[in-house]
Amino acid sequence: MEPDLNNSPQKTEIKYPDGYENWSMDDKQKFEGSIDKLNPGELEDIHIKEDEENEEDQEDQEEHEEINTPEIVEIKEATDKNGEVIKIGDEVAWDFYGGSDNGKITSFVSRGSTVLANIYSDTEKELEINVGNIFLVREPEKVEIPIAPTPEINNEANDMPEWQRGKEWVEFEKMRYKRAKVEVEHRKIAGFGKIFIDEITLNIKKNNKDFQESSDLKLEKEDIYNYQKNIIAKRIEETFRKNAGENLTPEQEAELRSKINSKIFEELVQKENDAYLKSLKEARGETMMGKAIESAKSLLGTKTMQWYLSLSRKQRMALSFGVGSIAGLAFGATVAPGAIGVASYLTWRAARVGLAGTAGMKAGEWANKKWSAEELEIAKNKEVEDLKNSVLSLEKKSKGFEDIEKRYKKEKIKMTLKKMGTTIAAGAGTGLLTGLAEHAVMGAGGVTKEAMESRDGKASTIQESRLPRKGFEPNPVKASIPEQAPEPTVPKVATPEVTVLEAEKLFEDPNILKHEVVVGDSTWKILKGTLENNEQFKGMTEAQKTYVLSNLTNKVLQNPENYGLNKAGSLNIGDKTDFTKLFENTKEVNGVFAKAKETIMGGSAQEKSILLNNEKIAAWVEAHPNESLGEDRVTEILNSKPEIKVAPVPEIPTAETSVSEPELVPQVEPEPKLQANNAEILAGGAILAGAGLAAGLSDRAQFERGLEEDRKRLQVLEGGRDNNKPESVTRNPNLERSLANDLNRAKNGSELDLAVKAAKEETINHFFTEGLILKKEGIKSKKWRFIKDLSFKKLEKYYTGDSNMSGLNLETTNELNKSNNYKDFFEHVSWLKDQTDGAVILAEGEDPSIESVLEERGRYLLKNPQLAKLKKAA
Amino acid sequence: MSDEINKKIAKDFGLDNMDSREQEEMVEKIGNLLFESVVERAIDVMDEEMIAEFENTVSEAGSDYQKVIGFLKSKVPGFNQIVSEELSRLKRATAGIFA
Repeated sequence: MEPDLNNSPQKTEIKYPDGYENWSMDDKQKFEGSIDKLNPGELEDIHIKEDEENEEDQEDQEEHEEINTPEIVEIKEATDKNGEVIKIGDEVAWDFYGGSDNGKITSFVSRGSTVLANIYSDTEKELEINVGNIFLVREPEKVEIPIAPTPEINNEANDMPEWQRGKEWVEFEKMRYKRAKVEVEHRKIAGFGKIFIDEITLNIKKNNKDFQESSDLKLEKEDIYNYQKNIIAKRIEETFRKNAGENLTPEQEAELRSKINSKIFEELVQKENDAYLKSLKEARGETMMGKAIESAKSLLGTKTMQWYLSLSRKQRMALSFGVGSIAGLAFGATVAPGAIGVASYLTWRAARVGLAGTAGMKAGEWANKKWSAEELEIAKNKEVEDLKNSVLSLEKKSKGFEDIEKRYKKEKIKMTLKKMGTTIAAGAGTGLLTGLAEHAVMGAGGVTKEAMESRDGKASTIQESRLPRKGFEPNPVKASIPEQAPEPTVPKVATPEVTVLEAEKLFEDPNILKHEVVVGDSTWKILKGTLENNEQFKGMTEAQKTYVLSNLTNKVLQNPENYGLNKAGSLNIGDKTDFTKLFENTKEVNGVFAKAKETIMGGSAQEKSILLNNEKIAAWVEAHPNESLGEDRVTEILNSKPEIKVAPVPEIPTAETSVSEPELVPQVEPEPKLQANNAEILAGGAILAGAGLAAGLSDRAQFERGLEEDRKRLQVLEGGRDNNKPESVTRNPNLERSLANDLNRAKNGSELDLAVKAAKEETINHFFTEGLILKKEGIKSKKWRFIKDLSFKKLEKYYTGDSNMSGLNLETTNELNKSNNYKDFFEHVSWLKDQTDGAVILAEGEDPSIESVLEERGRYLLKNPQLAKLKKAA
Repeated sequence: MSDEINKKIAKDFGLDNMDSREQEEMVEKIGNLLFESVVERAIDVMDEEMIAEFENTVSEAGSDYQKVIGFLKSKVPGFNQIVSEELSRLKRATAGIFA
């Protein structure tokens, strides 16, 4: 029996958790708010009275699991927590997370443990609402605060379960709700569905006070919560055992234990889950998403659960835990709490060998593991999640999180270096190409312009790329991905014994190593200008020069201040650079020259790679003149795969739709017979200024362009020539007519085409619009995209003749079988033929798409609205 | 489900001491909770278009639950992570409380 809150005092004093006074203001407000949100009359626990017949039905269903019989049980009566009966016909207001509405309960249905109330609303909608979301309108003033009864109330409520008596239960319920809110808060901050940021390694979030506080709160309270939970579990067991008496037989004992566990599940697991889900849904209301989406999500959740509960028990089990289930790979990836109660984090980690697969790796295994970025992220998240679930103390968990953070950070760096090595082997490194990118920008004048246009008129800073400080050692032999991240060798820093005189050997005039930065300069550009004074460099190919420049630019960026750049590696207009030190070690510089010549041979893969990358970056810069080019962008550009160019497919490549003259409608200006191929039909359509529209032009500007194009075509047809095409192609005697007439027709045609387009879209939307909650127009649906290009004749054969002889492939027919929408649509298009009195028919040899047929028949009917059949149909 | 998986589930959720029938009932209940929370989390990351697609998938799935699973796995970003988190949460919820 549940507590009867009607007997409770009108006002019950709120019992605040221990330490409440030390909570932050925000937490206090959230706590107060959480109490407010538990409205009176809320139907959190519905007691279902099922008739025996229904129970029998359920048993039958259990016995016939293979049959997909929905486990739907009609409920004759339901009561709320106050013991009040909720009846069919009761007026209710329901909260759909983003609004509320009124309606009357028309029926109750239970699917498994979920009770749904069917409500007929004032807005004439029949809705199925999880009763957990319903709030009774009537008598809300009965109970002021929905907290569990105080001990005083408990004394009067003798029928209350023993474990619910006393303040521990009250405290526990509050804590449970608070805990759920905090857990959801974490997910919200970390991003729903994204990685749940671990509680300890919050360096990046350290400025977010709320998050930090809630994180700490969670960890500190978790142990207390679990402790309380265990106490209640024990109390439930004690209560049941006391009532069961002593000297039980083994069978009785087993039955008792089953009952105890069932109650423990209900009181502690199910309710904890309910609190979590409730918080999760409430959090949606606090996001910036639109109310419509919010409501849609809520309803979709209910709908999905209805579907789930309609599955057989076996199917549900398979879905949750079977092979290929949702749990799937994730299952087993996390360690059960308490499974490893070890003394230290390291011991804990070591004990996890074989459980999580990564955290317990030995040093050697770890070092040799070839991570991908995704693997690394997944492994890290698993470790974090496992550690969170462990029974380690807060302090040990903290250390553990720190360790995980460090290890994975290190691994990420190694992986990045490996990537660089890969690129280097292919001819260029990221750093190299960042320099190149900068060069491209400089070449395009982008930074020059920005520098010139600096608002305050002061010298602008020229951004230098601050990418890898490592040098680049192309691997002339192996262009494949190195197994282990190569440590690219860095050209050694100038040694003290090397004199300035040596630099003179590279350059006749050492003064060219000094430069005053002007607008448009970059390290790359200055170095290039300098090196052009060296005969060796001057004689190199573009790719070889790129290699050398990249190498030296990166060396400069390692110690920018040595060369007159600022600490960040940037240049300011007016700065004086001096690259003397860079070229001091002639042996080293000559080594770079030699390496460039040796490895980047003309026509080699390395050369091609560098030149290709040059092109990629140059193309990007040209295409994005106003966007900055950072290291991430460069990496993205260079890693982008070349676009596969597919020859454009004409919209109607082969169909030859003939439109015969309607004999019964003399008042309509006859259409010329179109005997041209489809390309010309489109051109004919264009004459009517409609091809563009029919092809989906969406705005006025496009329409105007289409019309202009049509005018040009008309000129061609009038006798002029399209200089780009031979006359035989552009002239079509069947389409020739006077310019004035055609222009007039173009005008009328454009209107007709608009009507055709609108009618066509309406038809498609009628058959293919998806979704009841959030509609997706049929014209944008996958189904429409699937069917629109299919041959009408093949479809006709498939649906009305010998389907095996339709000529449609298996994949297509499988898809057609999936939905009746396809068939309905086909039948509609077929029906249109009758409406034209057979005027629009498909001639032999024609094989138009169903879209073409729809369009042609629709066009004809719109031009001939007097056709009785169409009127009748309408 | 294989015995091995059953045992693993039972162990992970602290159901070791229960007999097989009781374990089975409990796993079913946990499975229901898992699915519901995973779905709610998944829906949270869905945009308008995906909501419509998912609704359509559910409407047409019938008893072909793999369709729904396939959708969630392939379309919902970080789905495995969601499942993993929800499993962990439920394991925490059931840890050490049963008789």
